[in-house]
Amino acid sequence: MTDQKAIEGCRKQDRISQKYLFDAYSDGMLMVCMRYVKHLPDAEEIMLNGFYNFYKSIDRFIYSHENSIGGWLKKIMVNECLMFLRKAGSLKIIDEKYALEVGADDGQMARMNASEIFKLIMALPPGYRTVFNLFAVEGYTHKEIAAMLNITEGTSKSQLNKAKGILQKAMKQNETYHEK
Amino acid sequence: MKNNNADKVLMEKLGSLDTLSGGIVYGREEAWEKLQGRLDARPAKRIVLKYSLAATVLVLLGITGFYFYPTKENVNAKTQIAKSVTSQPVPAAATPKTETTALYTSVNRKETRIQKRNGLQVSHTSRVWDTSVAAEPKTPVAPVVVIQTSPATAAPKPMHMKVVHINELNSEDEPQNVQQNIAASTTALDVRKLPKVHINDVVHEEYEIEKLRRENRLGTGNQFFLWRDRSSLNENTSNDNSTEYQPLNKQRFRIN
Repeated sequence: MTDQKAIEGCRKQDRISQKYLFDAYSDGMLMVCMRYVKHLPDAEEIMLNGFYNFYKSIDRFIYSHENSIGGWLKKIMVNECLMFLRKAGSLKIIDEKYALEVGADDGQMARMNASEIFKLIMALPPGYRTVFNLFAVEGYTHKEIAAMLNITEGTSKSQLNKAKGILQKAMKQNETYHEK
Repeated sequence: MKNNNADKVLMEKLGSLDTLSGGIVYGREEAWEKLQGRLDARPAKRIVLKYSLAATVLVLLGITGFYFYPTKENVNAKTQIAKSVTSQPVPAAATPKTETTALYTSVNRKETRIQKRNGLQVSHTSRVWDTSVAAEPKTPVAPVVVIQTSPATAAPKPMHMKVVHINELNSEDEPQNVQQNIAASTTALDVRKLPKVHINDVVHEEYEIEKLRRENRLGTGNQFFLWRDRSSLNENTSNDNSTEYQPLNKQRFRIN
């Protein structure tokens, strides 16, 4: 079964097609949710809600290429995560005027694997983590992030730079730990 | 520039993180069972919710209608009473004889009463908050049907046109309004002092008098005098000096 056929089957409420897509994308989507929510039970719940909304809104989905399903699902998951964080009150970000520029070291990033970077991101505070994920991983602009989180662009930039600063410190500590 | 490169590297690395990293374990099959349950169950829940909402709205509408909508009996009674009141003029000299009858009484505190005044029916509708009824479980109460003793639309005859028997004038149980009406029509005449004569006799006498007059005028018939002549007076009663004619010692009544 291909993705395209599975999408056609999902439009007919076919359980086998739905199961096929769930098996193919659930792990990756759970990781997306984990980047935002941190706790596994919450991330799992959000992922299930996201898949439910995906199956219900499958008629609006247009299959263009192989990565379109992943992109569509990721958008749904991110929206679900933001809704969850809003409800939980974790997205109370105070407006900041000054955004400190922090230079990132490419060498450090290159030396670390994805799993290690993931763990460092998980250790960030919710506000920083959300802005960092939206900007550095999902590729949203500061304007879009400001609209999504109901903050100013300057606050978004400031949050991102602070997150990068924390990550750099963590990487340096990690390097010294490995060197020792 | 450096920052952009770093972001790209980070994006590529985290984008490739499709598989679960170490330490994260979750039951995919269990999660699928949960999702399948939601896919099957949610529409049914929504339908139940919609039906329950609709049922609640209907019940509320029914209760409001039961309390505030006018019933058929009430409306009919009102229209009937309104017709009767508008078609009947109220006599000025009529003394009100009040008789109150509950036409319709319901548990929803609406009460219509009819007062009969000299054959007229006047309605009084009022709202009564009956707490005892409200506290009890609400059961529909059948309307009280009242059999009317007289038709509501019958117009009373004007009193000055009514023929009253003469014998009834001095009777104790005569209606007060009739007495007043007679007194008003016979101005300054004390009717009670007049002797009683049967109505049939009055008609007969008048007819007889007319007959005698005609005979007297024509010179035919029996020798019976309605009016006494001077000669006859002299002949019969020499001592009587009165020259006035005397009417028959009978009562005359004209009935209009």
